[in-house]
Amino acid sequence: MKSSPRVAGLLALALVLTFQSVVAKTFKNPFKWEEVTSSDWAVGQDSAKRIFDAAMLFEKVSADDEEMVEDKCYRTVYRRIRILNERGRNRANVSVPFVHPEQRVIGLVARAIHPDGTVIDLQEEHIFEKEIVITREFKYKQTSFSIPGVTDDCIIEYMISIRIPYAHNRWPIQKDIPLLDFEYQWLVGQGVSRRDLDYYRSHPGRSLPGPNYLWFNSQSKQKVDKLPSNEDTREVRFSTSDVPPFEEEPYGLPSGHLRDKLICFYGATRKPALYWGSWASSNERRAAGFCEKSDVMKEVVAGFGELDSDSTKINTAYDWILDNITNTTHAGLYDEKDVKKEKRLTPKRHSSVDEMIERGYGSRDDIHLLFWAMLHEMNIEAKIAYAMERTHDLFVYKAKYWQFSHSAVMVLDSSGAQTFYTPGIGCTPASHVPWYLEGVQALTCAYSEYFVTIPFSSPEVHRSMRSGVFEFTEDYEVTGRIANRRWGQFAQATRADLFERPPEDHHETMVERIEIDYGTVELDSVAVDGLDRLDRPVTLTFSASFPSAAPVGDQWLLKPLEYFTTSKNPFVQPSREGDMMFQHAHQRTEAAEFAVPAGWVVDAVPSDTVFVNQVGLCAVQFSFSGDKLMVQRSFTLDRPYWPVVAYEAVRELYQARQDQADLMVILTKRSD
Amino acid sequence: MSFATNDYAVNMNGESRTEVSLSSRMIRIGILSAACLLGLSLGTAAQPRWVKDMVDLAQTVKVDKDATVVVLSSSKEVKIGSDGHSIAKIRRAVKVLSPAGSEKAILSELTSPTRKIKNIEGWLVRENGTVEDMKKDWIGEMDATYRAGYYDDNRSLVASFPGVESGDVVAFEYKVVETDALLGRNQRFVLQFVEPTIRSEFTVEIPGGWALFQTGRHSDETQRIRTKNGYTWLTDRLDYQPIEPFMPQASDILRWIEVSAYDPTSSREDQFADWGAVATWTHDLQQPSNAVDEQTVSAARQLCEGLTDPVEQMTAIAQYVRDKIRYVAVELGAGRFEPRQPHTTQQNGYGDCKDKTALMRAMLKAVDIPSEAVLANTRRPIDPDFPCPLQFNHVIIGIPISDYFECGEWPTACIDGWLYYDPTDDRFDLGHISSQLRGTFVLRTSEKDSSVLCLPELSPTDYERLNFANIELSPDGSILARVRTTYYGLLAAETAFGWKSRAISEWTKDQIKRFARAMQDPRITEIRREVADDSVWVSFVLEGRNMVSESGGRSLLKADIFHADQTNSLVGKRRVHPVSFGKPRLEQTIIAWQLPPDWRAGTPPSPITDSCEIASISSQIEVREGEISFLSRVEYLGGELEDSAYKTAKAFTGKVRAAESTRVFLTKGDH
Repeated sequence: MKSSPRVAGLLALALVLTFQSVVAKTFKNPFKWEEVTSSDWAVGQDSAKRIFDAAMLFEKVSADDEEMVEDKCYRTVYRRIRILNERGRNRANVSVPFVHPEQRVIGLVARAIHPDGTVIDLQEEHIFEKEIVITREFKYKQTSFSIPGVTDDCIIEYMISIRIPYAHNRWPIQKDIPLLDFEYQWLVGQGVSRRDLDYYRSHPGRSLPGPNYLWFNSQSKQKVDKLPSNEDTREVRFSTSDVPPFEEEPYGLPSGHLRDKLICFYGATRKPALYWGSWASSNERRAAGFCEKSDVMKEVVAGFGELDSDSTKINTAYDWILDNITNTTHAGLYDEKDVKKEKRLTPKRHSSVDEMIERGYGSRDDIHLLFWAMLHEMNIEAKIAYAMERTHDLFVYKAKYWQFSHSAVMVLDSSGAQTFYTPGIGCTPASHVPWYLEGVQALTCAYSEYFVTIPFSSPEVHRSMRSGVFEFTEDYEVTGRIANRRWGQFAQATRADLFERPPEDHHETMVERIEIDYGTVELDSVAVDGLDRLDRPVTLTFSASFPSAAPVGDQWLLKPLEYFTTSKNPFVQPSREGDMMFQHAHQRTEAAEFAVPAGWVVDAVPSDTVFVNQVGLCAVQFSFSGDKLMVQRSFTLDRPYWPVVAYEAVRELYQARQDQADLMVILTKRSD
Repeated sequence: MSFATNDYAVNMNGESRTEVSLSSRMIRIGILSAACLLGLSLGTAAQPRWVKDMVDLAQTVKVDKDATVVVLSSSKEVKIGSDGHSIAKIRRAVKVLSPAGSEKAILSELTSPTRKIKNIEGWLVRENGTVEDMKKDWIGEMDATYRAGYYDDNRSLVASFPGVESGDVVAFEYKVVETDALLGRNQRFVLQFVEPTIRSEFTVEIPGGWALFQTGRHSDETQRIRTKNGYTWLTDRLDYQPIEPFMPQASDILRWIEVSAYDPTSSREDQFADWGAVATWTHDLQQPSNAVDEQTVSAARQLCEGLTDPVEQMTAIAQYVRDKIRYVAVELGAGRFEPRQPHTTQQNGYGDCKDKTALMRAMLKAVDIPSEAVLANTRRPIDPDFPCPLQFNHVIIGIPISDYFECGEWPTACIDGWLYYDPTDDRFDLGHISSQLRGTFVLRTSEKDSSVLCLPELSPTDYERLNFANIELSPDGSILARVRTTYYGLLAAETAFGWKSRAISEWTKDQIKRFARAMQDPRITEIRREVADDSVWVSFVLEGRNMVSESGGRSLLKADIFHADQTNSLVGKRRVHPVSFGKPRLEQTIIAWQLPPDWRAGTPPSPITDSCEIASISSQIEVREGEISFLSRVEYLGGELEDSAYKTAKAFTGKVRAAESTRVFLTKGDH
């Protein structure tokens, strides 16, 4: 509806009242729009604040857990957005935020406000509901709406209230547009939800959870406006302002970690040290309990005989597990059939290590417990450790809830040096962990300090050595046979790609991987060797054809490094804001021999170049003799994690690699 | 506008359903995983005769090594009733050849309130002969492309067996019941996917006395058999269709048949014996109510206040509808085909292509300018011999303008006295039509003057870019360049829209990325962007390092800073598909290099010139005292080169690559 300002007020009021009767009355508490102020209208494009299309003037969230014991929690979000151009208008198409699969929208109002005071309200015809997933067990209905009357210079606002069955208080504050003001009201639930009641009944010693909160990565000034007091024990208020939009950077830390967020949760009221200490103790008790019935395991260990050193014993136990225990961590996802076909079983929880050995299979955590028990039986000091993989988020000490996604086994030698093992994670050789667990904090069981850092491995561990013999065809292609040996995580990645795949599938899987490395290329006959021995390198051999620039007159300019792995520098912006995280340190060596095409001679080759700095090394060597041209490149990344202050050095290293790929060999037509 | 067609968007391979995104895959995998986690026992089941035959056939087939599945059999038997409703029986069997193929063994069929999938049966035949039945838990429905601002009532039914592996045969049989007469009378079937297809069969049975039109791709190479009440189309042994660089779009390559059935004796408006019938039906559907409401009239008159020239009035209305009505599609029920009333669209401030066109027409009518709805397709070509409204997916506007001005004034959007305009496309002013629509057939739905016509073809000069740089080279290899790029025609409008809709900081980041391929540490300052009458231009100062490399003690200057090995080259000996370099366009580059004092350029490389039927390149270096000029011109004409001309096309891309990596030898003063 659009009308003159004079009648707009009355009409808008009438519409608001009508609409309230349709939708708004279902809000738990009566709602009221806040007054639109002149400072709201004053917000305009501002490159310093990264305001371009639109800015969220405020977001006010009410998290009401007062009826938590009845399994009814309410989340109400009220957002006001200043629209500044045509692109910004799309902010008026809104999907109700997904908080919980069983959420129900109980209240929804929205409106557009024009600079002249005209108000256009959302009507029921602008609200759309659709079941977007339907399975036999589950339906998910998505509610969306498109606010009418939105122009490229207006304010929109909406309030959405949902009911969820239990408290969920992880609220992402940082959006993809600037947020100028944020307020969060938490009405704390008293008692325990029905869902958790059984747990507390069966654990009478366990103290009831208390309210906890955490701000994550706040880039702006944060405030706790109100904490529960003796007078009012039920309300907590938080606020912050000027939250910039979130922008992802190449090779940044996980976005789940970087985005500003507020987490309110019911958990331990103890200090973190006590909280984690209690987890460590209870984990140890659980581990010990699991290993109580262990006669069969002891027999297995006894069968190892008189092995001479601890390392031999450890490796023997590791290999025994890989050979005898089927890993069912992902059973039901992709390897259920094999388990069923071969053993005719359904993965079950085991009550003891013996039961697990007798059944012959186990989950990742079961396998780690078994490995730990075997080491313990051989009098080798080892601890179970828990860690979070660093692809999604990073561990936060103060966050007193279970954050870990993986277990591992930490082995201590007589000097106290720690080595981590993960036999329960496929394709991992002994004394290694997958890259995503390196560099993260791990909680150990009953260790003097509960947390240890799983170390990054050195670049020498993760090597790739590639060599190729190439020749030029008459239609300016380069064809060659390439052999690539891979160690460490390079080998592990290949093994994981080809895990339990028959050899006839290897070609297709590896073609995709090789094309990522090389760009435009035609591949033939990819073969893989060395998959079966985790302690040996994997070798790939394949033939490839690459495009080449055509000769111009009597001259042919070649870039031999074009036929190596792609060298594009991902760090081209002059500065960045966040730290850098690669998968793992590594060393790549590539060597190629080119047969100079008939009728051409090598006229000039670039000088050898070496670039080295704190981050790594990049070196290229050229040589030629007769009709052969040889090129070799070495690239080393010393560590996977670099703080933002090292950006210039990281950028220089990758730029050097890109520049080297641009070096040219000059061929000229043979004069005879 | 969504004239959702049946089989083209839905197939077991998912090849042609381009909108199937990663998220849909995740949901499919989720359904599959959920089914697996239930730990259902997989019993041995009986397979029907046709599946047994397919399993036997699977033992013998040999196909391209790159194929991930082989389609053993794909058939659709459809019976169209006299009420237009249809029942199709579909059978498909594939043999999975590789891990990626297991995803192509997933059944995915479009469902809607009028289109129901019934009696789904499926069989997974393992290599060892074990047979598993499809369970209901493995079937789900989802809308993987759902987003706020696009509302429809379609979903995909997805059925998949857990743990499908190489060597397995997966077969499905089910019925598709369509109760919308328009959609029921129009049937489409993809006979060939990317993957090799052993046998495809499409049978259509129509009521006695009815007739049908047929269209398709490569349909002349498909065997057609007349049956008692219809036709059967058959294909045998169709090869794997590899994905190749510079290939035409999939809908131009794969083989499909589409039929539109009608009753010649019927007086119903939605029976399409010719384009006239389609135009009449569409005209009635797209016509906003005859009496334009007061609100729309008032808005139109307000917009045109003081404007007496009809062209100015048209322009004002076009800009209003384009800029003030945001694109929101509500394709629910009748809203799939019918526009909303203009005043509703105006009140909402949003609408889809039908709504925006209807509003613009109503506003034009309010100032006595006639217009018509025009059907178009933004994705695939229209067959002018196949009179069916479901060929189209978009509505634009046509305005008869011969009373006001000559077509020659707006040659790229005018034909036969009519001006065409797409109010849904935010990028263009009146007088321009997007490159997607240029050269395509459209249907003008005028009651008296309907026709299928081709919009003006796009020419390279309609999409032109001119790069200019004046560069000072320093002795350390760094540069200071004054750069100006000018865009013409449609590219100018697209560029201006891009500037308007993105922050300049984002634009600068993109330019830094672009120049980082040619130099170290590119820095851009003094940005100036201007919009002129027929062009737009941007100028800036560019600084960078490392433009001179060394080889054998000789210095090499990278002559072209705008194109650093950007062009993909053709590679490989085999070519299956024609070569297409895309829409017509022209790019010219002029770079004037100024060398440091006492530096000289060596003998320039030979000029590069090459051409083929669909493209040409010329590039040359000129050297004078202390100065180097680099000039290049690359023109693409549109169209395709047949696979037999592959070698020519390959040589052409090699020349483009050579031009992009042109180097000039430099001699420093002390040498």
